[in-house]
Amino acid sequence: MTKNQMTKNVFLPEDFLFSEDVLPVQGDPTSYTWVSPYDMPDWVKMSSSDKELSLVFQYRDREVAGPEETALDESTELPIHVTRGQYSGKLMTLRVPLAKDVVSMVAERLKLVAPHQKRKNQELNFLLLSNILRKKQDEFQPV
Amino acid sequence: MSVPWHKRPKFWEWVELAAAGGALASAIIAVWDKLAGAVWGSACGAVLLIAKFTQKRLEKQERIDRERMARQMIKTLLRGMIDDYFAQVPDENRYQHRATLFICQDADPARGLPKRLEIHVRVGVFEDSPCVLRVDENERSKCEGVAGQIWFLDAPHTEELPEWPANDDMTAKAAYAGKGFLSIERAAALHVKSRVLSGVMVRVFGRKWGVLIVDSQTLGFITKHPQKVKLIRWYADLIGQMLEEAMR
Repeated sequence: MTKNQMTKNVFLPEDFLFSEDVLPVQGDPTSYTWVSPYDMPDWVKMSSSDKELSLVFQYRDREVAGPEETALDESTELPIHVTRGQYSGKLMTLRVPLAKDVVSMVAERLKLVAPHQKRKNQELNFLLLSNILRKKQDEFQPV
Repeated sequence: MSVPWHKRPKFWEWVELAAAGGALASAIIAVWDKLAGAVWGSACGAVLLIAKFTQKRLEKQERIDRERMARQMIKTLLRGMIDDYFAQVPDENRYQHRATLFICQDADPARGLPKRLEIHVRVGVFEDSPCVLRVDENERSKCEGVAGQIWFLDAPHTEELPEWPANDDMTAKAAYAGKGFLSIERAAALHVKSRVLSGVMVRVFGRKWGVLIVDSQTLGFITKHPQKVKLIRWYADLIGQMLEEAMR
């Protein structure tokens, strides 16, 4: 491990996940959809080195990541590489080069790409992860 | 309760192995004595066939027993879920609330059946209802009922429906059917005209397996209060894990 390498686990308590500004709910009071219980991480394993920040989202089910790592979007300025759940398409891991305010930038990018996901569960998973990173950016900020 | 040795698939697996060994030995015997080799070979072949058949039959029975037990356990869980979720409902009104676990069955073109949700376990009135809801992976409009919508979205969903009219008011009937994602005919045929339905997808090994639904004939008990949302999460998770164990 090099001098600036660090790893830590960030636990996400239920009360935090179910708080109004974290849990994404869409619709009106008589018809609404929210994020699937299987797409809500219990904790996040964060590791950073001199060059990049990596996040692994730990879910309750035993779904494994698909074989390929892909780019989150077409941006080349700060490329974000992700792997997704084999069946659900939820975000399993994320890798991004280090930059100033990298966590809030990732949160913003997740929010931007969320509506363009193929399926509703993926959109809600992206929004939830964006909210988690935004609310806990101090904990995810690399040293 | 322990299973007798002759009813264990593992025992018949060993018999199969022994018979296969015997058949091999008979080929060697046949080098010296053709008749003895043939008799031994045939006898071992017959034992092999019987062992294979018995093993398959026992394995099938074991699977059926495991599924039956899982269903029974899920029923107990759903009872617990109703008690937790509708804790504020007086006992005399409990019949107005139900919990249903739907299982998705693949399309069966030979029998003219589309991909559909069937009731796997229900706790509440009309437990043995033959209710079937059509689902489609690509077109939301082809998914019937709130359960069908949840299947398509792969996300929890809650829907409040207007009252089903006591008279022949077709506009009110259409409004109810529309909010329930059903045709008017299908809505009219429902034994229970629920006012609120809420549910979640159940995934097994990461794959979509079925839909867990709670429904109520009274407004106000199914809400997006964090405690209720947590309960649905907890039960969907538990049922998923139980099904994973049963399918191992």
